[in-house]
Amino acid sequence: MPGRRRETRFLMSPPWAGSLQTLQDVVVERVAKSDIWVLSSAPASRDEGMTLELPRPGGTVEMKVRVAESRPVVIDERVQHRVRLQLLETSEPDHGGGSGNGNVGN
Amino acid sequence: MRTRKQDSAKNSGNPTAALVAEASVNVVDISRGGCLLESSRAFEEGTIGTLELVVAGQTYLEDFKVARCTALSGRGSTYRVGLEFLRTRRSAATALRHAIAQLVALNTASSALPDHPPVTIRTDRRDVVGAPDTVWPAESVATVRVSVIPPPAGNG
Repeated sequence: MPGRRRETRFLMSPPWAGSLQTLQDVVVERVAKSDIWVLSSAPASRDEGMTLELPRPGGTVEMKVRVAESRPVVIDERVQHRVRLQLLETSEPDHGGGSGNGNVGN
Repeated sequence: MRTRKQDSAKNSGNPTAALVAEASVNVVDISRGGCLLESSRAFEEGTIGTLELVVAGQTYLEDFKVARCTALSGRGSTYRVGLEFLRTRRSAATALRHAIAQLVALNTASSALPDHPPVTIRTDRRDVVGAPDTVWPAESVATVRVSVIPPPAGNG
């Protein structure tokens, strides 16, 4: 079976607790006062809390968001997912020079 | 790691961003090349991210790619997720594979700390790590009991 690990495995008993962060590239379609619409290749679970990292001049704006809606759409003959994110909290860019709020694009 | 050239070209100037999700997981087994997790949420194959584990007070990190994700039958919304570690970080003290290397080393240095009662680790292959039924010092396995799973037969 391809993709199976061939190296020695250590079985955890009891299992180790951990956390993981996943990154998904998205395209920001629209920004309203408290909602952000993005296009993603993966669906999102409603009510899940996430962080949207948006590159801006002078740093990256981090926005705490919650998934309000996720719908599949066909764009350029590909199935994508239009996700509406509800803005909860915005942090300033790491290195100054940008605003944390407002319109992020076209 | 975050290449967005293709997306940028296809989306006519709309800004790209990264959507970061966090999830709590349980590590079922681990090797130098990857690990098997249980999670309450599913992950798409190919998803990349960072795994963080705290073992004996030390935080270990490793970047990964999701190799597979299957739902566990009869366990509600529980998923088994296979991760493949990416060699995107130097093998520093905080790298998870550094911790795994220590596990391997512990298995080979078996007879230290005679004051503690020994714990026996069963292995089925002599050529994996050390000898079968290697005796481990109890202090080495105070928080985690470890056994060795041989690779599945016939999978290379």
